Amino acid sequence: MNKKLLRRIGNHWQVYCFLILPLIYLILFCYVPMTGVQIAFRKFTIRDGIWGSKWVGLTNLFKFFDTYNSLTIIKNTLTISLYNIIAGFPIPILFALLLNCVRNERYKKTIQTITYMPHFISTVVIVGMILQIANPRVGLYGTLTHALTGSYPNDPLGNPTVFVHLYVWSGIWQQFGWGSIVYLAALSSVDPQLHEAAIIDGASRWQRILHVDFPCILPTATIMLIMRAGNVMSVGYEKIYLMQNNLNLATSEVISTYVYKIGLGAGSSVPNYSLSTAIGLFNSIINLILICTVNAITRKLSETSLW
Amino acid sequence: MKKTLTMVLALVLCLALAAPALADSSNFNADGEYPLFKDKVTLTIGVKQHANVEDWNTNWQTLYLEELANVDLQFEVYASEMNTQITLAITGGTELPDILFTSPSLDLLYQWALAGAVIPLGDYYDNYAYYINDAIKRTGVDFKPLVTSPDGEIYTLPTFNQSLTNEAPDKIWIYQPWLDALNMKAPTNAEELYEVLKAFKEKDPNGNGEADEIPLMSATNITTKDAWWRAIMNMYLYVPNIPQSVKDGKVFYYAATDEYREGLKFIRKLIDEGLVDPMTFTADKTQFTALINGETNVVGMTMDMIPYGNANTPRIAEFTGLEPFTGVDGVKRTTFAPSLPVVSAMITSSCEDPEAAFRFLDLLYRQDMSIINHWGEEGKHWAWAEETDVSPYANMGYEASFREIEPLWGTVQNIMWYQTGPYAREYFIASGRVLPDNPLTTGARAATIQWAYTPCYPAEGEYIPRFIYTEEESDEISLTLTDLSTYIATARTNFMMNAEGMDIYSDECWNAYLAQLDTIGLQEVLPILQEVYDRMYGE
Repeated sequence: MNKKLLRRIGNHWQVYCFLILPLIYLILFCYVPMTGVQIAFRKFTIRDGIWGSKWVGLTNLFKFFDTYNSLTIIKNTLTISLYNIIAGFPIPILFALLLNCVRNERYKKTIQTITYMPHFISTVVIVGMILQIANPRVGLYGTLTHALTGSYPNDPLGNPTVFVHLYVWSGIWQQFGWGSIVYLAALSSVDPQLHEAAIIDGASRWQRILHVDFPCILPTATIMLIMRAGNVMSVGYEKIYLMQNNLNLATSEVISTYVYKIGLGAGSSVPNYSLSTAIGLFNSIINLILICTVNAITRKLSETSLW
Repeated sequence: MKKTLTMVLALVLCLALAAPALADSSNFNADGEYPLFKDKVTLTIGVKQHANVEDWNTNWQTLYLEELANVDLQFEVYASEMNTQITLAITGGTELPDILFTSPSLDLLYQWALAGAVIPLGDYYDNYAYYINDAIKRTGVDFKPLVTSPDGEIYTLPTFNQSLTNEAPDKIWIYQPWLDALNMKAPTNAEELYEVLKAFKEKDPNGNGEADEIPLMSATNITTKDAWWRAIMNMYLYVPNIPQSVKDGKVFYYAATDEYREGLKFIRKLIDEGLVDPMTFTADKTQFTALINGETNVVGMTMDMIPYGNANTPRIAEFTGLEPFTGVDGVKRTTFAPSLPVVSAMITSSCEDPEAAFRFLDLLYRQDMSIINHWGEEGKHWAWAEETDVSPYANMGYEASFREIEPLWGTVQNIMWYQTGPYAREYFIASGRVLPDNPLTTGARAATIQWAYTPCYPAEGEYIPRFIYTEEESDEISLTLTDLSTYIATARTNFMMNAEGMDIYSDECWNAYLAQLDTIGLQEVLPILQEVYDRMYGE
């Protein structure tokens, strides 16, 4: 077996040469930095460096679980993340299926461009827009309510329940156009003969979507869902951090913002790299377990899976 | 002829080569003489990129200093997160510039020092601090102990900016036309405050026939976002600008006292009756100023260091400064933010000639340097005051110091360093600055009421300027301190708003809150804080 492999490499050594550069790249920039993960189990000090600091085992992780609100934080992270997947995952698919039915090419392209534009707006600007629009006095929301009812509404940004919806749906609004691109690409590769055959068989447009288009993008959707599952524990901190205030902290404090505050942000006078790394590692392990589980399930249920 | 020239050139070259070897005190001119160095010295300076400074190397202040000191300054510009980059460079063993201009916390600075990246400066302070000693005399404060690390060494040359305005961050501002329209007097205590706010809400002071008035409001990112509640809370007990208070030498958290609870009850009442708008907790400066600068103003009262943030609009003149409210015990208090030295410059262990570096940095403490690094070139952008000039703080006994000719602050320029690097600016400089005739500037507005605040500061020993922790102490309590601060701030908002089931009138809720503080670790950190306090300020 080994001999066979070596002979094969010998025969095609030019092709294998192409592999060298990417391999070096991967080793240098992905695997070598990974050795730094060890500071999750050390008490990192600048003086002793990564390799010299004292081993402390799982102390850093316990420190996180010892904090008074660690459970709330994990709960908030999961709530926001799962809500995001449940509400945000089907929308790009539905949108792609709808858009695929549009016959007028120019109309279709215009809609596509308009819907994926928000993806390019930076987080800071998006949050600025949210704050501006949702303001109960000077914002669109406040002005409209005042015009319709004659009184000013309550402040949505100070309400912990509303916060989750505001966060998730503004994210969906920003990303669904962009997210649908991959499905549109999958749909464009659907063999027209299938559609023609279906039309001859008398299938309605709805039936064609259900029995031709949908099965064709199902593998793509499955892969996307598996990848999404690998990000459950990580809610990006920028947007949520910018939208936080003392009133909505009950639902808006998530792992990443908390790590930022205690580990790197203004709250701590010395950056606590060990603690941040430990929590980061904990997140990654949970994510890895989730991605494996979901992958195993989908492999059982359908033929598609990541590996 | 040609031979002589070659000889001379060779000699010069030899001298130039020998110069570093001879770089002892002989390369320095006497104190107070220029240039500082006989032979040109090259210094590299690490500095954070600044949006208002075009190019550090061709900056007028750089060129001016290069000539004055006979030094060649070479800047290494760090893009962002400079402290993180420095920390990484130290861990990775990368060479640092000779001098760093950045402001890490004292704790982080001490970590750098323990790693051997920045050098102790005690000896240099003792021997070469010509302008620094003058600065200590000018400011009347020996600022060195407040930047001394727990091992007794100093690792930094700090910035020390004494500012009257900044020391009173909680000034109270009221919209004068409304008071006039209602024919009311400015409130001086809790009852009057309540009456005035109530009248603002109910009696339509802006006369548009609509109940759109917001009696009191603040925002989340103005200069002092805590000013509004601290100005009210100070009627019940002294609220410092850090979470810890001290009384009779005992350190405590004011947020765990009964007086604090009484203050919260009063604020809750104001919010319940719509006198303080809940937007205070969510609106940012843009929305806040939009409300004030609208066609008709709808905000009656606000608190901030200078009138609502930094907006130079005509309406600013209509907000009058009020004296601090008289407390329930008859005492007027206001939050005091003492002018403290801030870590600003470090000499790294990569520096080959630390003495030259120190002497150069020492030059930055010359009195006019504190004007140059903010207002620009003397004679062109500013000039020393003339006899006829009057300081805006004349009523507090300050004489005029200088007048601005062409303002640079807030513009993208290549004249000055935008207050980067160390300097010492005494009260006289900033307070004696002759303001332009325009009364609408925030500085002019703040100057109108400062006199009422300075006498209300707590006495020496009734506030804590700063805690400086040892490595072990910092390691033990920093996480708990962060958690405590976050929880106290969140709980305060919830108590004020009666949100999340936190009812300030209910003893059960209050006790649960106190118990939570203990769970987080209040009782564990107090003895440590007490120890630090005794070490730093004890007899």
